[in-house]
Amino acid sequence: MTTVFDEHLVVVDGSDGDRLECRVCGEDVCSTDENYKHHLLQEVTPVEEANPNLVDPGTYVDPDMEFRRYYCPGCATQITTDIMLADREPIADKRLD
Amino acid sequence: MVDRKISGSEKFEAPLEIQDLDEVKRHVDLHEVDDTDVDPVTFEVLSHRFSQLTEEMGSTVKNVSGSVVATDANDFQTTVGDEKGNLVEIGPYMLFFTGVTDRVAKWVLDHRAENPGINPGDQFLCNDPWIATMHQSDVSLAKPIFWEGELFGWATSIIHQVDVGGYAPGSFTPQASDVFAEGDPIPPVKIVDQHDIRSDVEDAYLRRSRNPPELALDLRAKRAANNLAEERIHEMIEEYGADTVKKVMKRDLEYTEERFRNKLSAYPDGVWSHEHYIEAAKTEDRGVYRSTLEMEIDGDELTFRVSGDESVGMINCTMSGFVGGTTSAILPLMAHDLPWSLTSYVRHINYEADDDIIVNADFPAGVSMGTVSGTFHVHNSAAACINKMLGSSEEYKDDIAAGGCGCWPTENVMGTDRQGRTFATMIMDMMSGGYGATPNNDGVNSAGNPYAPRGMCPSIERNEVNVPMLYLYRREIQDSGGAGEYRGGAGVEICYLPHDVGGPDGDPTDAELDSAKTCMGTAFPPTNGIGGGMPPNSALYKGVRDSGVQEDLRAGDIPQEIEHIGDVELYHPKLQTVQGGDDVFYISWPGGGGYGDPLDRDPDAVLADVVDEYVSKEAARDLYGVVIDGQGVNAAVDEAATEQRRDDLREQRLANASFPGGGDR
Repeated sequence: MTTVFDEHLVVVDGSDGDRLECRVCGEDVCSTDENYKHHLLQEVTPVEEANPNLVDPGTYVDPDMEFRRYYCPGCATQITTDIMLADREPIADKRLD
Repeated sequence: MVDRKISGSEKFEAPLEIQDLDEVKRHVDLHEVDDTDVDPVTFEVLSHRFSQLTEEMGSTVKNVSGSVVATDANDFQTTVGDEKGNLVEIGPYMLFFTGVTDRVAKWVLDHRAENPGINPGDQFLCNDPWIATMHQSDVSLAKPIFWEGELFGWATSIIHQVDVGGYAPGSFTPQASDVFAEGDPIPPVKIVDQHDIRSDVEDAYLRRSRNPPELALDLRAKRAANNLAEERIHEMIEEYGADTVKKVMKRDLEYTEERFRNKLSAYPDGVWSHEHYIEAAKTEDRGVYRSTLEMEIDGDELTFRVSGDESVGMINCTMSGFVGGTTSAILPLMAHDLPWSLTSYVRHINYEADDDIIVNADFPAGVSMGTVSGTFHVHNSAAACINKMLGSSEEYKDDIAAGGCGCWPTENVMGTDRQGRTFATMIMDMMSGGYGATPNNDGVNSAGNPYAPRGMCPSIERNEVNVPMLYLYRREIQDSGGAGEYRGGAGVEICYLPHDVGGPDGDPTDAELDSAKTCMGTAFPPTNGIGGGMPPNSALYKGVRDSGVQEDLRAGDIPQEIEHIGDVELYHPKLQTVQGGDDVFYISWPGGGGYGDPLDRDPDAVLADVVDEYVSKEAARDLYGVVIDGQGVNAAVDEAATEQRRDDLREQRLANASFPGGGDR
C-alpha cells in the first residue's frame, strides 16, 4: 500500500517501517522518521540562479543566502527548491501523522 | 528605541472573543435567538441576500470614494456580522482584512458599551493594528445595527487610506524604529454619533493626514456602505421577521463551520512548515529576518504555530497580521468552494505565536509596513504550508496554486500637481502580480494577487490623471514567472517620470516629487515554486537621475529600456527620496512560482512561451532544457537537441549535488 507524501514521493511499507520512495523511478529515499531532505541530493547555487531576473542578494543584505535544489538520487527529478540563509539547516517541512 | 513594553498598552490587544459578555449586556440589549431552525428555502434566499449585500456595500464604497486605492484597485473590504460581531459575510475584496474586522466590534462591545455608549446611528473608527487592522493606513468604520432597541448586528467597511500621518508620505515609514515615528494608531472612537459625523473627532483624525480631503471622502464612503447595510438588513427583517433573519445568520455560521470541519477531516493529518525571510528592517539596514511557520492538521482542528526573530524596525505585523495573513491563504486555497462566513473558520484554527516576534509584534514596534511586510510574509508562508499539505492529498492536490507575486513594492508620492494643489497618493499598479502555477495549468500572467480576488490594476490613463506622472512603459517581464512543468504567471514592470508638476507656471524639470518606497522581496523572491517548481523574480526599485529623457521626448523618442536611458541605480527597499523632474524611476514586482520540475515541461509549451516572449531562448535552454532554432513564427523545437540537453542537465544535477552534510546514503 502506498500513501502520497508529496508530488514526487510516496510512503511505502518497508520491512523496518514506513519509507519514502520516488514515484518516478522507485528509488528508496529514507525512513519517514527522517528529514527527507537529508537523503535527497542537494545542489547549492547563488540565489540568482533561481530566476534570470534576480540580482545578487549581497546588493541589499549582509547575511549569505543560497538557492537549494533537491533531486531524487535515482532519476535526478527536481523534488523541491528552497531559498535559505546559508547557515540554516534544511528543515523537515512535511510530516504525515 | 523605546523599552518594551508600554504600561497600559495591554488594553489595546483585541482577543478573539468578547471578554465580559455579562457586562456588555448591562449596557446594550442584544438581539439573540436560541436555535437556527429555518426552512431551507428561506435560508438559501436570505443567505444569498447577505452575500449580495457585501458586494453592494463594495459598490457603494467605490461610488463614493475618490481614492484610486478604492475606486480602481479595490483595496478595501466590507463585512456583515451578528450582534457579537461574528462575521457572517465578507466581500470578495482584500482578504487580509477579513480575519480581523470582527475584532473591532468585539473590542467596541467590551470597551465602549458603558462609555461613550453604543446607540443606533453610531459608527466607530479604528486603525489600531493591535486591535484590528494590518497597519495604521487601514482605517475601518464599524456600525452597530439596531432593531427595535436591540443590537442586531454589525456592518464594517475598511479602506487603505493614502496617508494617515507619520514621518514619510504615504505613512509607510522606512526610517521608523517604532510606532511613535509612524501614523498614530487610533483605538475605536465614536466618529459618527447617532447618524452625524462628529466634527471634533473628524478634525482630530484628518489633521494627521497629508491628504485630508481624500480621507474625509473615504470616511463618508464607508459610512454610506454601512448605512446601506443597515437599510438592507432592516428590509430583510421587515419582510421575514428579526428572529428568522438572525437564525439565517447563525445557520450560515453553523453551515460553514460544518463544511470546513468536514474538509479539514478529509485532508491528511500531519505537520507542514515553511521558513521565510524579510530583508532590511528600515532605511539602510542590511539584515535578514526570519520566521518559521508550522501548520498542523489533526482531525478537524487546524493550528498555525510560528516562531522567529524579535520585532525590529518597521517591517512587523501584529497578531492581526498573523490572523489576516493565514486566513487570506486559507480562503482561496482551502475554501474556494465554501461560503466565507469567516468566524466559522477562525473557530477551528488555533493561533500560536511566540511573543514579540516580527509577525506578532508588541506595542510599540514599528508596524506601518504591516500589510506589505509582516502580513504578506505570513500569507506566503501559510500558502506554502497549505500547498505542501495539498500535495499530500490525492483528492485535493489539484487545489494547489504555487505562490503568487507575494509582495507589494509601495511607491507613495507627494508633491504639487499641475493645478498647483498638493497631493499625496500611492501607485496601485502592483495589483497585477503573476499568479502561481497549478498542477494542470500555467499561472495567469499579470493576473492580480490571490489575496485580493477583486483586485484591479488601474489603467495608465487613470494614473496619469491622478498623479502628475508620465509612463515610459508598463509591461510584463520576460522570464519573471517561476520555471516549472507549469510556469508561473509573469510579473510586471513600470518606468515613469514626473509630468506637469509644480503648478501651472512651474518648470517641469525643476519640480520635485517626494517618494517613499517600502518593499519585502527585493533581495530575494518573496514567494516560491512548489513540487520542484522555481521561484519568480523579485521586486526591484531602480532609477536614473538627471536622465535627459525630457529632451528625448521632445525629439519624439520614448525610451523602452531604463538601462538605455543612463546610469541605473538600484534603490534600497526602505527609502525616502525625491524624484526630480528629469529623474526616471522604475519598479518591478514578481510573477508567480512554478509547479513541478522544469525539465518535465512540454517542449511545445516552452516554444509558445518563447514566441510570445514570456521566456527567452536562453532560459528555455538553461532552465527547461529546450533547444529552439529560428526566430518568431519560424521558431521550432530541435527535438533531438532538446532530448540530449535534458539528459545532460540531469547528469549535471547528479554531478553537482551532494547529500546535505557531505555524507552518502
